[in-house]
Amino acid sequence: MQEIDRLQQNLATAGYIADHELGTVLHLSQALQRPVLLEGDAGVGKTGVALALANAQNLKLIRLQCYEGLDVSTALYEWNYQKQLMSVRLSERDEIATTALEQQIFSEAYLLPRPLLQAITTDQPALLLIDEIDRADDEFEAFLLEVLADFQISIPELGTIVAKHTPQVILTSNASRELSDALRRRCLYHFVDYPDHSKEQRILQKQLPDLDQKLASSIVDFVQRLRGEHLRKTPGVAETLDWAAAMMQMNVSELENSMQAIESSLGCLLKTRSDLEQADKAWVSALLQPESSTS
Amino acid sequence: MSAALPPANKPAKEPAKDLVSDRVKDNLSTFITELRAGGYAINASNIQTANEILCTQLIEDRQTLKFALRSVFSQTRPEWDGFDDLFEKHWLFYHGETDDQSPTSDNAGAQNRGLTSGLGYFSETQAQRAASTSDIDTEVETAGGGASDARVLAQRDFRFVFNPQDMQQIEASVDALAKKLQKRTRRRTRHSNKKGQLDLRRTTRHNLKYGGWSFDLRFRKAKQSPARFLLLLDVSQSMEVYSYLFLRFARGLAQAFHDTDAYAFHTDLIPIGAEMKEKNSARLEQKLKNLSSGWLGGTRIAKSLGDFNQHYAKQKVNRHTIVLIFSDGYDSTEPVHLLNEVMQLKQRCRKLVWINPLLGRGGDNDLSLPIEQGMKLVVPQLDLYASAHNLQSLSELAPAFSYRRNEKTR
Repeated sequence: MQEIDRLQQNLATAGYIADHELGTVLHLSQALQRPVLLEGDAGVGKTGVALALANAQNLKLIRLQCYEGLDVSTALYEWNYQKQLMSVRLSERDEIATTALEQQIFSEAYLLPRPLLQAITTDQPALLLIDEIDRADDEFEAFLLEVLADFQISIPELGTIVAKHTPQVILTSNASRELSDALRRRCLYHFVDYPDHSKEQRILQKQLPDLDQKLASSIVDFVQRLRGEHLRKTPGVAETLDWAAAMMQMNVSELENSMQAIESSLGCLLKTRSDLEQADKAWVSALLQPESSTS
Repeated sequence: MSAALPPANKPAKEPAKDLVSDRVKDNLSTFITELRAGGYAINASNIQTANEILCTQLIEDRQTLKFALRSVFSQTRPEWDGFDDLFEKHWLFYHGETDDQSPTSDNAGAQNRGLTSGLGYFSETQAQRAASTSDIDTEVETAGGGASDARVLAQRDFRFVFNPQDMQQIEASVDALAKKLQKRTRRRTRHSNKKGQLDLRRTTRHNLKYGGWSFDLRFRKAKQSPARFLLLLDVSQSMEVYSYLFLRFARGLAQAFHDTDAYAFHTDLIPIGAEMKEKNSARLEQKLKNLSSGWLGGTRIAKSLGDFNQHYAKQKVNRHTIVLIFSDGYDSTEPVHLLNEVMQLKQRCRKLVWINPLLGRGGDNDLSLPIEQGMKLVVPQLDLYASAHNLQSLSELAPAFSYRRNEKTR
């Protein structure tokens, strides 16, 4: 399993702590040329996988951020209408034949490639990140199936464009809606869960090397317990990193004696009003020192 | 491993079918059959990919092979979560060994998190917090002394749990169960292709840009009303062993399902819905203490249900409400009174579920016992009559939370 280990090491060098499960899936994705669908709650590091992988393997990162109403022209290509119009105006003086003019203004020079076309036409190996696919509409998802199946795109004016290098594709989803079976079938699936204590501590130490180890351990303890509470928005790794950075900024050396700093910085972890309302002093104390608070 | 798979950005090879031995192919075929029986939708493309994986050196390491096959055969989180169990069972059956020697990082993490501490009546424990983040099955399997101990604990009647550590594990699992049920009742594992009825007004409006031609049809989606839950908890003396855990369970449900109301009853009926919504454990404990006068005394189920029917049912119960009664059925009044009240309640609600911890005790408790005479009349009126005397039976209560009525009574 040397290649998987090497991939994990490369990701770690790029700042992402990947476990063996994720390493295996990413390796398979490269070897079998299958897209990977990463599903998980917001803030657990799904997008980070793609960023780190592109960095680690020296791939050109092309990102398509999905949203409700995303259409094919925004994702694939658009004609540069202003440039075409200008050419038409200029050609009126030069009296160029209509057919020649059409060929000119519907050539690649007038094409504005969007992320999907960029991923197909790029000259260097690329990684296509299709972020938050669950936010896009069903129609776009269906269109994406065709692109992911053949990695070729037909532009009526230019013909069919085939990928020079098959890009590695990573799709992420927060599971805010059900994705179609057809899309799931075409992908390797991996669920990105909240990290356990040791992994989260390694992430903290990787991302914030100046953070004291003991403080990092206390922060992770606190956040791990916090995730067990009935919260509207469970804090992810990104929130842990924010909070740890805040603790460093506030010169906190140990959590146990820094109740005021904790209370004032809880906004880094708790992101809704109802969650913040339940975080009174006793609640925070119980999370900090569960043994002593219950004895 | 090197050269076993084509490097990235080069065309993948055709599956080297000849390289896979017949034994491995048979093994994979059996495993796929087992997965399909477990509800996995596996198509030819998945099988082809799995065959490609089996041609590589990934097959030499069981963990890696498991991760690889899981990513191919799983398409949703429930499938992803359940894959490990099916894989290990298959391996155990065909190869006679389990995967205990190399626990996954999650298991190790769960073990680290499985610390416990002393607690008050409703105080949060570390184990409980840990349990909320992980699946109850995982927790039961990992906390404590290995898989077999955890399984024994899950099957042990709550009245025989004397060890404080075991009790804390059970409390943690009960709390986690509500979250699990929330996911189970709300999840949609398959994409729905149903379009609903044609919406003429929106279709016309939307197609104005096409000059009135209806190119783009709009459909009316049926509005789904979420289920409401009503919990009626017996806190009398006879339920002493179980009522504490049922209250914890009710608290978890009230916080997991927004539209939940709860009442405790002994000789009187006490609304505790607002208290169950309280997230702060210390405040909740204090509120319950203020209400607990008369608890662990006698029981008048029929009178309590009558009070509910008379004063609350009209506002609190409608055709979307699933009513769950947690009680042993021991009533000091005439059985026919209980029957009348239950029938009144049933007429108003969507589904009536009675959870009786005595039901799971086996031979020493059945409908022939005197205390169950009242229940003998009531049971035919129930949509579901189930036991919840241990963790396992409690975790099997998912049908009680289903919106469908067609569950068989026991």
